[in-house]
Parts: sequence; structure tokens; C-alpha cells
Amino acid sequence: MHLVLVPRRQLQRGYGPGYESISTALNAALSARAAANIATQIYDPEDGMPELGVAPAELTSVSLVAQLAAIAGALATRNGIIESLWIIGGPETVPFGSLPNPMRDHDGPIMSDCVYGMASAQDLLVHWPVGRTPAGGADTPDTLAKLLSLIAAAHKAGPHLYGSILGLSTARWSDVSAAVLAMAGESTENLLLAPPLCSGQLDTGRLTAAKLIYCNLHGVIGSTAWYGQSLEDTDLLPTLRPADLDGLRFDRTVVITQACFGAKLRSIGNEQTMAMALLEAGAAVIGAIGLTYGSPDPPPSESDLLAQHLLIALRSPGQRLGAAFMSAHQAMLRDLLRHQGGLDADDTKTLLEFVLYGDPAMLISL
Amino acid sequence: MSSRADRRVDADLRDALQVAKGFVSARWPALAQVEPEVTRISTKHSLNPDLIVRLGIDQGELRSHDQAASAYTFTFASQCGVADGAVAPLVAAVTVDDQQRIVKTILSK
Repeated sequence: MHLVLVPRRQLQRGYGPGYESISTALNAALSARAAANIATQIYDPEDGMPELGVAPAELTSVSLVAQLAAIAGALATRNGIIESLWIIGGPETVPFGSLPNPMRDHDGPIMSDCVYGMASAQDLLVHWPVGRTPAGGADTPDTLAKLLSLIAAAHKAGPHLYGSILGLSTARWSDVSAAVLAMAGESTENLLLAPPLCSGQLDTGRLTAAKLIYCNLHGVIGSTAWYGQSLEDTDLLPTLRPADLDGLRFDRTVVITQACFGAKLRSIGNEQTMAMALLEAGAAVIGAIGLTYGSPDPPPSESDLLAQHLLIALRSPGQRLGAAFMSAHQAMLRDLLRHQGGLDADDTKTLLEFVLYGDPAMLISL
Repeated sequence: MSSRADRRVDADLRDALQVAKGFVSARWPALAQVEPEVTRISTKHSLNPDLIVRLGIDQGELRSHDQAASAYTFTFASQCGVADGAVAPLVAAVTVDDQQRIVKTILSK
């Protein structure tokens, strides 16, 4: 069954009267799911699942993980499994899980939703895919309601036909990005380099025509933009800003970002992050909250290798978003074990840190 | 008093550090003055055996890598300013094996 974690009480406490619009949009999304024949079970952790004998839990990552383990165990006794978990609400409502950072890079703990799929430092793969639809912050119920409405519309529209892919890469990483596309069976003609590409001068028609957008750009501290870099490893140049997306639609598009902090949600000043801007434009987003890594030159490794496997998995026929996300991680780990016999700290961090913003049960391709 | 083996390790580490510093300084001058964090890699990450089974990997495929040599990873972490006032993290991790060869380089995105 596809599980939906809806912290109704916490959302009501956090948003007050604003919760009404969230509830209406959530009901529409759940109805659209039902119409798409997705067997769904909703639960509020603070209520538990009495029908399965699962006790209520606080909204802390440790309690939620224990509760999910109990749900999975109870389902197993009834020959059931969790096929996916969809979390409704941002980290201010349901916190990200925290895992030890194996790298000595001063980045702090890994913040990720993978713990809600039972991944850990020893068991690096989720047992079921996890996706999240975040809010724009505690004061903005409209954002969460809007994102849920977009998901309802996407379910109603059904899986999209084979769409085009577009890659955006720093010029410095052009060889790695081209290798990622080539190894995923995609044409390198779909790769745009920054520079010359820069913010304010994007071919918006080409951008919105893509159903899969792969971004190998830099992310920084103190700016919402993603940046390009010339071949000479010199200064970073803004390539994509939230303002570049004004008025554009990315409905049923999946965006993979390898940028550091690419999945950050909290606005900087008055400007929303790229992840939130893409979500509000209708996209699903795959990225990391902390520092990300890759090799400066081919062959693809770390987040480049994950992106390669995501591109393959997301183009597989009949795939659901969460299943593709999970299968790309499995493929990456299988590759690493076969070629290296084990994992380095950076491999481990990469496997744990990427999150999926979107409904994991969404059928993404025919 | 340190043993001969300890002194050998110290010497290996010093040599590996020089290799890593030279390489990083040449490629990323902004990291030239950074003292790296050092991690000795003698065994790879230990994985849950159940995970290997779930992946459908034969243990024999992994055993072929059991003789991997020890190595050091040097992590150089810094930040640099961007023209628009933002700050870019700059982290390079260089792994040097016991033959003083650079076997892996990764860079923050």
C-alpha cells in the first residue's frame, strides 16, 4: 500500500484557519490518487494506526522511524508492504532525519528523508521510496495547498508521453555532464553550458519543453541562484535564479539538481529557493540539502553517478517517481560495490543525502 | 617510544600529504593554504550483509576487492566569495594510496 503521512493536528496547530485550504487541496490530491488506482492509506502519526495496533508517536524523526517500522511489521503479518511513503508538510512540521556525516567537510549531519524508508549508515538503501511535499514555511499555508493542487492535477492528467531531456551544466564540468548523458543513453546535444548560458538569457521555450531537467551547477551560501563556471575554474556566474522561472510552467517535469544545497527550502531574504520555485511551477525536484560532490572529470562519480542512474530510471517505462528514485540508488550502490568492493565516505554521503520532493506514487512515464 | 611500523606509517602519511597538497595547490590555488583533514582508509565501509543480498550481488564479486591497499583521504575545506556577495563552499577530497598515487579526487558542487 502507498502510505501518506499527514500530520493533520500539527498542520492545524501551525496554520490555524489556513489549514482549511490545505485540507481541501489534500483531499483533491487523494481523490486523484484513488482515481489513478493507487491504493492509499493515510495516517496521522499522532493518532497512530489503531487498526494495525500501532501506537501514536511524536513528530520527531526517531519516533516516526520507530512508528514506521511498527507499521511495516504489522503490514507484513497481513502479507502487506509499504510501497511508498508520501510526507505532507515541510521540515517545520515533519523534521528531516539526521544521520552522521561520514565526510570531514564541516557540513554538519546529513539531513534527509531516507531514514523514513529505514535507510541508515549501515543499511544505505531505503526499503520503500519516500517523497515529501513541503510547505513554503510556517506562515504560508497557501504554498502547501497550491503544491497539493498541482499534484492532484498531475494525477488527473496521467503519465506524460516520452518527453525531451535538457541538461544544464557548468562549462567546467561539461565533460562529466556529457558522460552522464551519454551513459544514460541521451544525446549530448541536449546539454547547455554555463557560461555562455547565464541568468536572464535562458531559452525558456527549450526549458519548459523538457520533461526531465538535469542540472549540474554550483550551489552557494547566501544566494538562491545556481551557478555556472568557466573551464578555467574561475568565478561562479549566476545561471538560474528563481526570477528566471517567473511565469513558466514545469507541470509533470522532474528536475534533478546536483548543486550544493539544491534542495534547501528556506527563503533567503524575500527570495524563495530554486527548489521551492520549481515546485510551485509544477515540477518534482530531486536534490540534496547539504554539500554535494562529484569528480571534476569523467568518469562520473558520487552525485554524477547518481544523476546518471536517475536519468535511466526516470525514463524507464511505467515507472513511478519514488520507485525510480529508489532504483537509481540501488543501481549506484551496485555499481560502486562491483567496481570498488566497498564505499568511501563521499559515496556513503551521496547515497543518503538526496531527497525527493513530490508524490512518490506519481506515474511518470508510459 | 614509537615502533618501526609507526614510523613507517608516519613517513607514508607525510609523503602522501605532500602529494595531495601539491596536487590541490596546482589545481585549486584557493585551497593552497588550507590544512586538510586526514582519514586513513584501510577497510571500506562495512555494509549490512542483508543489503548485499537485497542488491543481488554475489559475495564473491566483493571478495575480489579484499586486497585493496590502504590509503589516505585528505579533505581540504574552504569557502570563496562570489561576485554577487554570496559565498561558495569549496571542498576537495584527494585520496592517495600507499604507492603515493592519487587514486581519487572529488570536488564539491
